[in-house]
Amino acid sequence: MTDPFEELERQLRRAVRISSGERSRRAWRGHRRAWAIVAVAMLVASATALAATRLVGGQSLETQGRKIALRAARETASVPACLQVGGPSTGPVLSEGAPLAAITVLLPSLATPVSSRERAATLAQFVRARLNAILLSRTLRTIPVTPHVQLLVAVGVGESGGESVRSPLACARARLARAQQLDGKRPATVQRWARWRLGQMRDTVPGLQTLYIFELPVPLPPHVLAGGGTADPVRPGHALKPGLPLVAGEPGGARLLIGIAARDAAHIRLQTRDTGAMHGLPTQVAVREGFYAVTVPRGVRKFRLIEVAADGRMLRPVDLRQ
Amino acid sequence: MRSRNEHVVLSSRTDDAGLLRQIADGDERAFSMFYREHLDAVVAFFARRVGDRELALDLTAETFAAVVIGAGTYAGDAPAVAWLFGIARNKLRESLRRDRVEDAARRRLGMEAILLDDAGLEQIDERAGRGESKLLQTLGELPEATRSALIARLLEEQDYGQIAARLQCSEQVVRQRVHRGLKKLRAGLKEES
Repeated sequence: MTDPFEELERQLRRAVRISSGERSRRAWRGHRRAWAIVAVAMLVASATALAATRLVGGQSLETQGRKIALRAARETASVPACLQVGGPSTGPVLSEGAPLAAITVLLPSLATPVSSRERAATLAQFVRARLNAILLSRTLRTIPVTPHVQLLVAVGVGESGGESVRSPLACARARLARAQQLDGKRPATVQRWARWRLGQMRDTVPGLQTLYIFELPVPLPPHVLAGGGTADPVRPGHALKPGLPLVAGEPGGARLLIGIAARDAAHIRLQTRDTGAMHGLPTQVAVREGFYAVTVPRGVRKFRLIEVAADGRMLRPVDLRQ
Repeated sequence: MRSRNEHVVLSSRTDDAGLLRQIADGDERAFSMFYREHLDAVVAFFARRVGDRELALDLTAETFAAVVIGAGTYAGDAPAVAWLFGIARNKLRESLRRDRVEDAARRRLGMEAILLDDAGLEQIDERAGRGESKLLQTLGELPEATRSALIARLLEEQDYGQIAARLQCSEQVVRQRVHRGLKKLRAGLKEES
């Protein structure tokens, strides 16, 4: 791949050249009578607006591009490089290997294996939750985030479910070639949207991993398999971001928020201006191995989470409403 | 509010105002000079604030696209580099407010998305590092008290009040130190060029 900054410079130089031509034409028009300027300006404005949202056959250029990408993926499904490599269909299986740096930068503890007993107990819970995935053995763990909630956490290989294509790079090239055959005569914008959509397809991202998080009530009622769960795909080099990957409903209309904290955050401070609603909202919760859980009672509409470091520094305020 | 002169220290070696006029006239080479002169500092500016390399590249691209579009509107009443970082700050603010990267300028210019691989991501790190080290190297030649005030203000974006509390002096003294430090840095960079 070319240097992204050289590529950016190349595109911008071209834009300088083109926009200069447009300015020259505008200057030429400036010598014409006023009514002509108005008419031309209106025409240019209309053409620009039309170009931006142009519909061909009732579809926007974006939709056409996306459809071409999907068709290219469909039509290359039988190419050897694009054959699906299936994940497990009967529950989780374990694999060796390390989690991506993009994950451990925020959740460093996932790089260190826990005891075999804890690992086995966590795996048993994932089996109970009927998770079909290839999990990295060393990342399996149970993290108690509050006295009433614990998290089952693991990093999996590939997309959620462990499915991927046989050769991601070769498959990406095959899809791109097919898309170019399909969109060769379409406007450049359609081609750009097609390429963009192909780049979004995660099954051709080499080294992609998925972070699985399940919340589990403590104690777990016998009839419950597991609480809510989420699977966040993480691309190599694209760092996992702090945020709220999981929001679950609680009895009485409350909501349980499961968060990944910013690096160095030791606890989360909670604030709301609605003083009546502060009743029942904790003022502070601890961050455990990068995760935290907050139960927000029904009736709390606007509130603020502030990530705070161990030395008291405020790291990041997040305003939320529900 | 940040002083518009703060970013002058990042670069003032070329006649930026002249380059912007040439860019407005369609001079590609002038654009390349302006771009290469300020690229590292702009990448460092975004990388430090968003902590996401891909997002930093997107914001950098959007900022320079806005430069191409708006070069003809630069009035020359403020340093060109302050104008550039004014655009960068606006792009950052918009991005944070809307929780997505604005791409209006790039779309207007018909630019394509830039695909990134691991090597590309490393280059973003390298450029961000160079942008910062360039500034830090020059800062290192300043007296300790002035340097502390400048770093707190320029890199950590602290309020004057916060810096005063940390350095245990009055807000007025901090303002003076920042002002003198910027002046010395500008003078130093001019001598170097």
